[in-house]
Amino acid sequence: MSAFSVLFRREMRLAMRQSADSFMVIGFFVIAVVLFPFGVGPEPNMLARIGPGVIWVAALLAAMLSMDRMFMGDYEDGSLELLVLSPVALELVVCVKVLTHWLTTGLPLILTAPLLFVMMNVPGEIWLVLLLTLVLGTPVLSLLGSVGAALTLGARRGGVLLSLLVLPLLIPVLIFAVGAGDAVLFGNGAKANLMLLGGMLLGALALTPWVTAHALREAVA
Amino acid sequence: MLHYFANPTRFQRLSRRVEPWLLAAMLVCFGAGLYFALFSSPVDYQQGHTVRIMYIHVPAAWMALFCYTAMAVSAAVALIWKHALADVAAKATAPIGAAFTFLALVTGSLWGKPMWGTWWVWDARLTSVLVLFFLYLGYMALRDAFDEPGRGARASAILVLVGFVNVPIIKFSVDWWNTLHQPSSVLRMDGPTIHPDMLTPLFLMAAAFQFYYFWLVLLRIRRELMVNRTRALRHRQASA
Amino acid sequence: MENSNTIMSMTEHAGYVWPSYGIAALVLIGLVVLSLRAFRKSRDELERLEAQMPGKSDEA
Repeated sequence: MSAFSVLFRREMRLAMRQSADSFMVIGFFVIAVVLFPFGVGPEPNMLARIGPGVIWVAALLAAMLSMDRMFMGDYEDGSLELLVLSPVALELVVCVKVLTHWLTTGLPLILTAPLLFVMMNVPGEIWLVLLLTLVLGTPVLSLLGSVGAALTLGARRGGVLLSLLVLPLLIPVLIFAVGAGDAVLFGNGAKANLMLLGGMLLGALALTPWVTAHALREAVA
Repeated sequence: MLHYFANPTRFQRLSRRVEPWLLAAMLVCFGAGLYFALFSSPVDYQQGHTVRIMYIHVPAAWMALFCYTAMAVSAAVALIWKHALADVAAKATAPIGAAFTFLALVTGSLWGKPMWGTWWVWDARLTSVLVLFFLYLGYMALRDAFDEPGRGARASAILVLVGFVNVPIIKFSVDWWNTLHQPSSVLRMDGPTIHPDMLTPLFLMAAAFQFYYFWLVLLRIRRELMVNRTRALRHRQASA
Repeated sequence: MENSNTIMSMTEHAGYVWPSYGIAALVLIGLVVLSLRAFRKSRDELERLEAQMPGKSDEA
């Protein structure tokens, strides 16, 4: 059995034991979006206008909720030190952690999103594009979040600090994701935005595991 | 060369000798720059007197990027060669860079109100400079968040390098995206496009800001070195 | 005509230009004051400590 599948099974077992976390994330996501019709009024055209942005911002914040726990458990019980010292490449460990985080946070967010499209009166012709932006964008959240989670290990008020560090860096993802929906509505097609999001995903995939692994080594040094 | 200045005593001696000259150069540039900026520069035919805000705004924005670049270089040197002085330099630079970024944002806002009719627009350059400001604050917060100072230094150095992707985005944002903010008119391939009489105060103020940075950063580095030495002495005292 | 080029003749946008220079002065001078104060405090603390530990003060 390869190192990847051993690590992946371990992470998934740990995540299953904490499956309440995923429901918390979805709960936060839904409630955060549902607050908006109360805040700005239930006028359908306005909700359709702000819907994609609101849903994406809520997804960002919801993904932040579980971010600080990505390495926390292993850091506190000392298994992170063993992982760092083990012959398995730390970058691979990071990739597995990120994949698990995405499966327990990003994927549930994507699956819940259509429900919120209905509630926010999002026009049907941009549903598919918005789902695509979520598919391309949420892994970037998990990847960049892993950098922040590794950097704030052992920090005072680490959870809040993590959001303050990572959210500004995620602004480009938000801009191009929401822009994709607008582009379709204006008849420009979302290809450029989706390409840019894909480029960000590839760039993050290539660089962040390496940076996170470095930060983890510093954290346990 | 890198290791020559790693010795704190040698650095202290050298920087004490340079500082008065930097201070004098800064005061001369500020004096001349302010004279040209406020009294002896032409009024723009479109912008009127508000063009004088440029002599603060543009150099402050340059310095915001310069300080972040200096921090990123210092952080890289500190991480790769474990250079203690480079790490201290990054720490000493952060508040100065944050101050210049804040000034660029505030003066830009004060310039935008009479020219564009609004204090703030969400265009690419303003947004990316705002992110730069958050990066400075995040660096300082992360650096302070650990009980062991070495851990904070290394973690925040990595953060600075990750955030460096923002710097080229800021520099080229006005050329890549067609937005309300005017494209660069001084640092461009085919030469500056603004009136030469406006370049004099602009460059004088830029030089003044530059000298201000070097003078203050040396002072702040010397302070950090004294703090480190105090901590080391305390440690020795406690263990003796 | 000469006169209209100095800032003293400025009327319409005075409310934007002066605050810009004022805030810049405030921030830049304020940062120097804070840095100098921290510098003096650390220097005094170090000197006090070195006076307590004679003989070890010339080690870097």
